[in-house]
Amino acid sequence: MSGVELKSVRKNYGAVEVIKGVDLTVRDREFVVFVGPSGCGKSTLLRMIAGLEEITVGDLLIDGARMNDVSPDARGLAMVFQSYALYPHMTVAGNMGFALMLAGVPKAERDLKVRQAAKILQLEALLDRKPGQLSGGQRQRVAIGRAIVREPKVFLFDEPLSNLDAALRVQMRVELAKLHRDLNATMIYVTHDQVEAMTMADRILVLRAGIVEQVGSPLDLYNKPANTFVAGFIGSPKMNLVGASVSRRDGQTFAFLDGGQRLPIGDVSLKDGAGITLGLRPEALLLSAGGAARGEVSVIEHLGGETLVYVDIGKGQLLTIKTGDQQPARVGDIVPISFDPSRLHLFGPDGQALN
Amino acid sequence: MENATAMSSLPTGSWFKPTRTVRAWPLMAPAVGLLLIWAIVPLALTLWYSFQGYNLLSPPATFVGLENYYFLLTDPDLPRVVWNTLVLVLVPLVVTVTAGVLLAVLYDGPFFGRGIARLLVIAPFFVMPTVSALIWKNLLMHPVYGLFAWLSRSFGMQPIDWFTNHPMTAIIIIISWQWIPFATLILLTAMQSLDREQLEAARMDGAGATTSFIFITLPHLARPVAVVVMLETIFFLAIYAEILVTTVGGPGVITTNIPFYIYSRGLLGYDVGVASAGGIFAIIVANIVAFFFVRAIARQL
Repeated sequence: MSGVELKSVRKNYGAVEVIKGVDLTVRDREFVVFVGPSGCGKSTLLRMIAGLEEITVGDLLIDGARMNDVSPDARGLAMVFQSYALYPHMTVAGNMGFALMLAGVPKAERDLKVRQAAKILQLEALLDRKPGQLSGGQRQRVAIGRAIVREPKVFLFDEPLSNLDAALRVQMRVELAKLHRDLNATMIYVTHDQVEAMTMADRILVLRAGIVEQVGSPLDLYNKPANTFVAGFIGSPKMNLVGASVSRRDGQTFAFLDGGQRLPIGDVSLKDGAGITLGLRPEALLLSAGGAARGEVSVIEHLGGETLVYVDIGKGQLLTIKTGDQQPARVGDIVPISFDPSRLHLFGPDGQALN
Repeated sequence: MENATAMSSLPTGSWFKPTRTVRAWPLMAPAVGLLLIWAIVPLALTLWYSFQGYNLLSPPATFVGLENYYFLLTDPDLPRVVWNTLVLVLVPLVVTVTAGVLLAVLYDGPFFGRGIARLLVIAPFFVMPTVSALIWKNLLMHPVYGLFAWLSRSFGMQPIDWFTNHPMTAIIIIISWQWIPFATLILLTAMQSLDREQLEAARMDGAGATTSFIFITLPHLARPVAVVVMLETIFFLAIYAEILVTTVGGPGVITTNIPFYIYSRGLLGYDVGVASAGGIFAIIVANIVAFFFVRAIARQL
């Protein structure tokens, strides 16, 4: 059992509150990702778990024991830093064995553990090198190796892939997911990249300005975003969020788009004239006749496997439409737009989901 | 105008190959020439006079061959003088580097009034050597009205007559006081380039303050320390003003180093020949020291 529990945890820097009460239970062997825009407090939250930042209010429990005042090394955690933070004057083996050396583990045992971790990460050939002689991806591996050697209860990752190039990032993402499976370890991972969050997480915690916006599995967040922030943050390309107002006519409820068009929506418990937001994922929109709305194609982006069509539906409001068709329309065409009503998200005036 | 005409009428015949080097050297010549004259002329003159029997009281100079060198090397004071030179290099080096590292680590952390404290720690460096030596001699270490004497008497102890009883120690204290700021300044800037995440990683790995100092901070400072050692060695080999102002090389030759020895032979004994031989000797000693440092340090840089 290696669970982490946060109980209404808060963090203040002087008068400024950066973490405004976070409750979370990370279960044993779970891969939890903290995601949010920069400055949302996700790294601070991770560092509070690590013990590098004080917890102002609230409790942190690891395996049921309160850890607020336990020193970072005694919490049974290992952390992989964004800059890798390798010790530049030590060899790879020295870096990986440093914690064990400080803990007084005999050299033979230390070497064995370092060698085992190096084998998992394919670092065996590099054990005698210094970090300066390694590539970015190799340094990343050493940083992970340094964490593995300690056999921690929980692994903490602070944006570990953000210094890598795009191709390497995808590769390391896959390797991390595999590592999680192989090590059977509890992992907490911080990123601003929602793709990393979606691909690796068992559960995602979306953070904004120190407040938890939503916690759930990647598909929950994708299918049932709790508010416009999560809706816009999860999913790529971004969900189309269109402002509208409620209007009832002939027993039917419509949304009057800000651009002037009108869409039928299911009944909502809102007054006529109330401002709502319609959320439609680019992949839920179709360019087909019988559509509920129409607009002028303003930009087309060809990605090969998919095509993104930006359609102006009035007043400069662009809808992104994702289609598998390579030549769906031309720029300047007036196209009809339709969608599956079951994939329409409705958000109330306060930005919270309605259904 | 005349110059401009001369430039434009430069021969462009086949013998003139306007390669980059050739085109550049007229521009470099003034700088190179000046430096060459700057270094070579004094060296050549020193070398010349070191073979002359030239006493300012009984000119003119006459060629005496190696007599000056013979006099220098058989001077019973010489071993002591060389020893003093080495002591005045090594001890202040150890003191300034140790204090510099500690102060740099201390002043790197946040504390109230850090800006002023940093300014103060650097301040001694702005005081010229003669002035600081005078301050130490007359205001601090004077056995009758110095601050230290007053402190000793307030505690009922016998004041120490620094320049009589511990002259080397006194000079070492003065030099160290002057040069600790330099070491602190360089090492403090180096501390600021230390990756904080490394310290945090060490903390997660179980390193306390002492262990992370030994395993992370000190290795990080190795290079700047080498720079400090190298630069300070150059200056410490040439210490002169502090000795002149305080002990005048005495008592006896107890605080005489090679620069001061040269001064005393040349300007107190008026023997330019022996002083010049001493200068050549100093160059050789400096080169021996440099040889070891270049081998030990340059590899690191």
